[in-house]
Amino acid sequence: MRSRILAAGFLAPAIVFFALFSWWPIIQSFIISFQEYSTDSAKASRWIGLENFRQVLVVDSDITAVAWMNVLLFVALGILIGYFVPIVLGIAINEMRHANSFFRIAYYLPAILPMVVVTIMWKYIFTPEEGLLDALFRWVGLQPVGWLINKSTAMLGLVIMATWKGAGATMIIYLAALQGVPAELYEAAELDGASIRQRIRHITIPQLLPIMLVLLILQIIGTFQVFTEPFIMTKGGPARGTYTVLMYIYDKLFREYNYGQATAMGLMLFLVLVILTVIYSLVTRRQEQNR
Amino acid sequence: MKDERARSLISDIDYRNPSTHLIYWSVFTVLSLGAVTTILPLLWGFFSALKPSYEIFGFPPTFLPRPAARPWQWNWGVYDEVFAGSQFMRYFWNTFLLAVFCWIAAIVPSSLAGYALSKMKTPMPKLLMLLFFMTLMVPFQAYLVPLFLTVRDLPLVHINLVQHFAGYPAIILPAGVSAFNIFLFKSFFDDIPTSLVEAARIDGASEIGILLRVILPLSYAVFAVVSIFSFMGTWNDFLWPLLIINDNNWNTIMLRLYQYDLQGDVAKNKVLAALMISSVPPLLLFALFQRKIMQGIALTGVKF
Repeated sequence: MRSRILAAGFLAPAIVFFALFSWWPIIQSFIISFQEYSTDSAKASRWIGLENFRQVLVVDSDITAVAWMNVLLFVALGILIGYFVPIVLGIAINEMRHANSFFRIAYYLPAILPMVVVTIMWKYIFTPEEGLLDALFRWVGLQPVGWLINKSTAMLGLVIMATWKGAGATMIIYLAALQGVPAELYEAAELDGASIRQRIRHITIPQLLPIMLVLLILQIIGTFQVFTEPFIMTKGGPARGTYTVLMYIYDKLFREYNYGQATAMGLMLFLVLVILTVIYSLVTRRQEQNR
Repeated sequence: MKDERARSLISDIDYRNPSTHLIYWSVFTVLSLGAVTTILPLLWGFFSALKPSYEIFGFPPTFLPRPAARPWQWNWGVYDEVFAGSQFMRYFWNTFLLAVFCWIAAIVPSSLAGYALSKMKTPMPKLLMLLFFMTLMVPFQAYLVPLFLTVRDLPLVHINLVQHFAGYPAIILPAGVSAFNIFLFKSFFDDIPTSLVEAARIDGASEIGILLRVILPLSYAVFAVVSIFSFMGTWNDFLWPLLIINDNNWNTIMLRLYQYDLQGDVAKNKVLAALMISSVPPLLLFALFQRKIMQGIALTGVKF
């Protein structure tokens, strides 16, 4: 009995922290979304049913739709451009017998830099006409792209930067996974006369598939929450071309002080992320069973 | 490291084959070019800090400042000007201070809980673990607004954490919530033989004593990983400090960078110098603990 009380004492700090800063706010998400929230302690918050959701989805429908579409586009472009880069890098670098450590560190380097640093630096690099990239384009005789001033290229620029920043860390995970591919499989394939391309297709990729699936879902979860990059680089522009869900929440919070509507939008993001995480845990559980 | 490499896709026999050799060196060349694009922007930023603004945004683009042949004439003073003159020192200390407190918050409750769940008889262990690990499903951005409202008016006690010390308590205390750290500590402690702990108990050691004198010396690896990730997390964090800190003098380094870039009257080379200076601590930490960090990422699948 005494030891149980002692154990409870060891757990108490964590429980208090979680209760205050995790469990309670999560519960509050479901409450405040249906309230006209009052920060004044003398005045109670008022229940207003679905009014917050009506405001967000119907009254604000233009902006809300744009924010969600942009995030979906960011997710899609992120997969198209960024998802395969670390896989290719991992497989290639794993084969390198020269400068192997150098490659690992060189590609990991951008991941060490703070996101704010990377974003401001790329903002300068993407500066229309005069920035490094457009200047290089003009120098070799190409048309300057303009990057952040065009709606289509602004999003592309953000995805390129995010890939540049993020690929190295993901590559490290793939490199670790590649260490786990049994050497016997390659030996057997080689004895059977399989070419290197066939070995990649029939051994490496299938062996990596579980971790590829996991990292795909993690990447989607991550990109749904994109904020810092567009907030610093484009302020959501041009013409809301890079405006995201979290930026919408930020605006509701600090421009309109409308906590109920901000929470309602947050709850929608919450539900999307929970669905993705449920898929994630189903995938990982099935992988563990298969093992 | 080369010697311990297990065989992979390309065997030694393949490697001696001329056509494979050609492919190998082609891939090597492509990888080298790719490595240039990861390193070059950083070097460009470093050198551009030494240029006047019209040269940073100029045509044709330059890599080295002009005159390229005489490095001693470059504007090296800009780094000192920014660090001392623009008071970046102050924001460094702010962030260090914050990082220390966040580190304590990240280590103490999680390691205690991890130890209790691993080596003690706790009441309702299954339910507790479920409640802890459930929170892994929702990143904090998903309940950002309610958390923001909670720290301004804690339930029951009605304390406003944002009111004092420029809001630092509202950053430090939530840093204590990490189901992931609990999980790391617990699974690491699970691998330490329980017999060690029981022997110490028979010798009359207290549980805290066991944690500090038996477990801790065996667990430097996990404490190191959690500490490094905690420091990097605080140093690089942007969104939450942006919402919380309400006194410009107490801004973290990342908030300061953001504002510095927005100030129209600050020359862009000074901003670049500030970016470079602010990257030194993470780069230094990486240089010192490169192996630990890479292992930590590979082990946990978490990037910071």
